[in-house]
Amino acid sequence: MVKKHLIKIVVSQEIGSTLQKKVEAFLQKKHAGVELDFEYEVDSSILGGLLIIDGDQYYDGTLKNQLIKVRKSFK
Amino acid sequence: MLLAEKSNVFEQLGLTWQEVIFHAISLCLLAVVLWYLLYKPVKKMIQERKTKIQEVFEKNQKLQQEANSSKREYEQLLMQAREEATIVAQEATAKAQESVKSILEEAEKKAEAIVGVAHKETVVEFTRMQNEFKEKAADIIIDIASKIVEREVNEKDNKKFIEECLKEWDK
Repeated sequence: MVKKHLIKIVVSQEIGSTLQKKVEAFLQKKHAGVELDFEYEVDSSILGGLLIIDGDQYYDGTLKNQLIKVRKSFK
Repeated sequence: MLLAEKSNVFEQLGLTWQEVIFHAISLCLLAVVLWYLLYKPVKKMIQERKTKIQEVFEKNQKLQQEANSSKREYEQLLMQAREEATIVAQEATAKAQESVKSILEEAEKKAEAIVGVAHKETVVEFTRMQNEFKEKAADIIIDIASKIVEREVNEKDNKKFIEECLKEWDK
């Protein structure tokens, strides 16, 4: 049995299948030749965008993160 | 005749010429005795008194002269002392003024230093308060922005944002 590489995707609201496919295509490109398994989670606390947890790698495209960056820029 | 007239007068007074001569001689003797016993000593005494008085007078005059001389010396010394006192007072005043000036200068320097330190502290405190304000303002702004974003971001906006992220990561 081939072990699939699990990737967790956190979104603020449900995304349509078209967008899902775009996300999965992006990740598949990163893991060429690897079979991927996707786990979607809805978390409104991220406010918007998405957070991809790929093993020990993070792709943080959340609005929450953007606001944190803006907050840091005030310092 | 004259003698006879005179002896008549004496007889009328109840005196004899022998008695008159006797009294005359007694009177002369008395006069002489008084001269030697009374007049001369008294005169001597008076003379001595006079001499003493003269001596006392001369002594007084001498003392008076000495007193005047001392008085003049004293007045001169007093004038000198007053002059010296004036000079000392002037010097003391000048010294006091210098001291006051020096104290004022030192006080001014210290005040400037204190003001400088206070200014620095004020600037530091102002900067600290400014930073604190910025942080608090940032917290409030982000908090409000978060609430607005949470309320206003719709599906379309969310989709657009995700697509932009993917595009960015794909570079």
